[in-house]
Amino acid sequence: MLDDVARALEKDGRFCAWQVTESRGRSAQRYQVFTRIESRRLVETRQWDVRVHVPLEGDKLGESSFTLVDPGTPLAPELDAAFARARLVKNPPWTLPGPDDAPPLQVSATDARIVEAASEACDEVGGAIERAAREAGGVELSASEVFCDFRRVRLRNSRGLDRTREETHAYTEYVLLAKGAGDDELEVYQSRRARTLDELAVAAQLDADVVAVRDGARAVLPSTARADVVIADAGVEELFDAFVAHAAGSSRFEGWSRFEPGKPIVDQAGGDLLSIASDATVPGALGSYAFDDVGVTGRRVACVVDGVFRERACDRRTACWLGLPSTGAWGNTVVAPGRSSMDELLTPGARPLYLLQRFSQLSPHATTGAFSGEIRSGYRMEGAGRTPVRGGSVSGVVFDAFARARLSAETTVRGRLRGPRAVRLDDVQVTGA
Amino acid sequence: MDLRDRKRALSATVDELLRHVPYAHAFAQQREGAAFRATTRATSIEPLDPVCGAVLSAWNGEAMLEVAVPALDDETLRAAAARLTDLIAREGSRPGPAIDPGPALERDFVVAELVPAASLTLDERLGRAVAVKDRAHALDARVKNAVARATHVRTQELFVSPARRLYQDLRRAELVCLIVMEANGEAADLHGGRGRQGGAEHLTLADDDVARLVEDCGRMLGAERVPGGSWRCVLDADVAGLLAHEAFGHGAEGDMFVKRRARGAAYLGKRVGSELVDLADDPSLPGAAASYFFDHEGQLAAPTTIIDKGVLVAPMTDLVSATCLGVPRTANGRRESVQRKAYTRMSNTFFGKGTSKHDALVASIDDGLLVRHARNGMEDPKGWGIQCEAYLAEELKGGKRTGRVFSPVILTGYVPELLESVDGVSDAVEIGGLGMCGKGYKEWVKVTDGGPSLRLTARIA
Repeated sequence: MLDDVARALEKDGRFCAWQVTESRGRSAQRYQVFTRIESRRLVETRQWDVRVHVPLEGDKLGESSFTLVDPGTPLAPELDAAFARARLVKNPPWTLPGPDDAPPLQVSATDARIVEAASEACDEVGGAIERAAREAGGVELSASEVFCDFRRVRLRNSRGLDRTREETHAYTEYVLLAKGAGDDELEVYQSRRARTLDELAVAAQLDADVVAVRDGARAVLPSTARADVVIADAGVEELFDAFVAHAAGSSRFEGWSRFEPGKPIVDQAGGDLLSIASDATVPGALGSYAFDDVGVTGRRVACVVDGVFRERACDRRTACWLGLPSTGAWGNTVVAPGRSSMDELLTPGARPLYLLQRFSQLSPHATTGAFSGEIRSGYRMEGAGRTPVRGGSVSGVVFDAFARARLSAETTVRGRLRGPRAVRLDDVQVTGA
Repeated sequence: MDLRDRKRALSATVDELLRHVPYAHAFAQQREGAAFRATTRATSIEPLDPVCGAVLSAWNGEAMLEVAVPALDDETLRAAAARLTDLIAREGSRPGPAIDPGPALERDFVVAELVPAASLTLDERLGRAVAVKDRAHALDARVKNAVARATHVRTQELFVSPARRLYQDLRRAELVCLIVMEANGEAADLHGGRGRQGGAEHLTLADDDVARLVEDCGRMLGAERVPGGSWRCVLDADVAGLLAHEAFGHGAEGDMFVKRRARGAAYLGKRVGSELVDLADDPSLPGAAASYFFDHEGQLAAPTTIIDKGVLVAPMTDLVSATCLGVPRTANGRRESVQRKAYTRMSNTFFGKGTSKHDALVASIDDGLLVRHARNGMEDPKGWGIQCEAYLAEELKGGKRTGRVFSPVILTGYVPELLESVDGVSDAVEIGGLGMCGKGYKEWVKVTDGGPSLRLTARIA
């Protein structure tokens, strides 16, 4: 099918460039409620994505795309419609990559167990979750979901690029319950995604979640105050998102990136200097890829080095528009760890100190860096002891808070983030009792 | 393709499955549409990612076994049925509750387009977006990026079970505007728009609406954070809708009851808010963007009263949760697509109206906030915690706006306390049109929410 579409595009004189991508996938899905399998699902997917470029007057480019889901769809009307749409879109020009500017990259992005037996892989993960909850004692598994997906993608374009990549994706979410005071019951929700079952690291996560749900039974509301917080584990996954947004080409093209090459990314005031890279070449990592959606080879881009903005990560289109090197879509977010141990980060100072590990969502705002998270589990650190906290929120602005942030030497892998396990932000607002 | 042409094929497939299990159904979906996007520096006209396929479902007494395929031809459906039969054989039959297929029913439903989207040329539809983008720029030089997107979508759905053959053709259109403003090193962004069932008659955004968006975004530049603590607030309809959705929308999803993840299960028939609080979910709401005629499990749309005068009345359900709980089904069994499982999901969720005027609620606040422009939220049905984020709050002193604004604004708290504090409800319900809802952090479906303005006391960060 892909080659048929490519032949039709080669013959069609209206397009100055084109790309066809064939994606075929399969997914095994397992859902469990308490001890009962609630559902098992097998899913097949396939589609062909077509992109066309049309030359326009005044050095403008017309572009459009469409997706075929039925191989029996007549192609000619789709191409006519794409041509009609593209002619109305008068964008700055950009080019698709050719073989010379997209050398092949071999990067592991599959787990053989998922490729060969996805349903069994789901059972392996789901069974491990159930066993761990059962053996922990005092904790009950409410529900779990496990997805194991495989996808093969082949891309051809008018410049002679012809690449194929394979990738797996493992996802799980689960909920643990524990008795609280009286009839009360508490839950801890967890979700993880990875390319491989090993990197999903369910066993270690479950150990931490069992502790969290047990401690949650005696959690109190934090006090409203300016406080120091150590954001760790699941909480840290989203913490760098605003930095990523401002380091990407799209924010520059849209006119709102606050980062300038050669300049510090925050007004440093004594904290650790941030180093942030987009790296699509880490073997087996969730954000790794051999080539991105337009065929650009995965690579590492050191965007921020020792607190100074160095290089912008740009997808092909934005790079052409900005006149910058094309580095491909953002890969894994790799953040250099700091020098402080977790123990050092968790040493209280003059203000109250909290270790915060789970939020409903933290999601720093891409444009402003403002963040706020309802606290789902954490601790108030008090000398040698600690009191579980739950509820209330922590808020601030990452571009201010990182001026004096300290990063842990211990590292973690969570989703696309590979970086410090914890970040200490001093003098932020905690709102609670 | 007209999905009605596949009724017979799906029926034959279901009949084949019924030889192996006591209950089976099939659901097919085809979605198509286009997005016309104008930004400050680029434009695009792109078809929406098409959805086409079917999911076959078989109940073995304990589990819903499913096979989903990306095509609807006879051969694909036969192969899918064979795979599902294999899965049924592997899993075996289990003792468990029987599924009631309900009374026999065969109907077709269609949403009318007053102005068919296809009756406008591509240029005209792109022009709608370009006009909004240009208007935003013309209003304020501090607008650094404006994005206007006009979208129309057609979704055909076909449900076939032993008792039902239902077809619906849903049409929806929306126009959304996002602006980013920058001045003196400070940046802010804000979005707004409208979405309704129907056609190109809804691909518009009034000049006044764009002007308000730009004005409010400009006021957010350099705005302070709210001093954290307990505040008397008036939530506008937009933020009240977000509260409705997060507070007791998710908390009344029946599948969360089955998993013991909803504290509300123990509060049915009990008070969870002030007597002024009414809350409903209504997929049959005429013209609302998330409305439909039947859910993805063949249940006809009808309103569900969730909270009546402060008392929690009933959960929303999907097929399996209603069966497991032994409670009535509601039309809330929905999927992101055929590739995903059905869960209990909201549709149009909103607080009921009261008797006060919005302006009177504002005027009654001696020292507090008028909270506007909902951004996002997150539920906690087990702990009854809540997080709702709004872009903007205006300071109120002596019942008047002082001109001081705060941004962003995070509302948190314990849901029953929050709803118990509601002591004023305005007399007009407004339903938004731009919402999407995830289950946890995935499974996105179209929803709307709304309500009257609410006066309450909230913990603000």
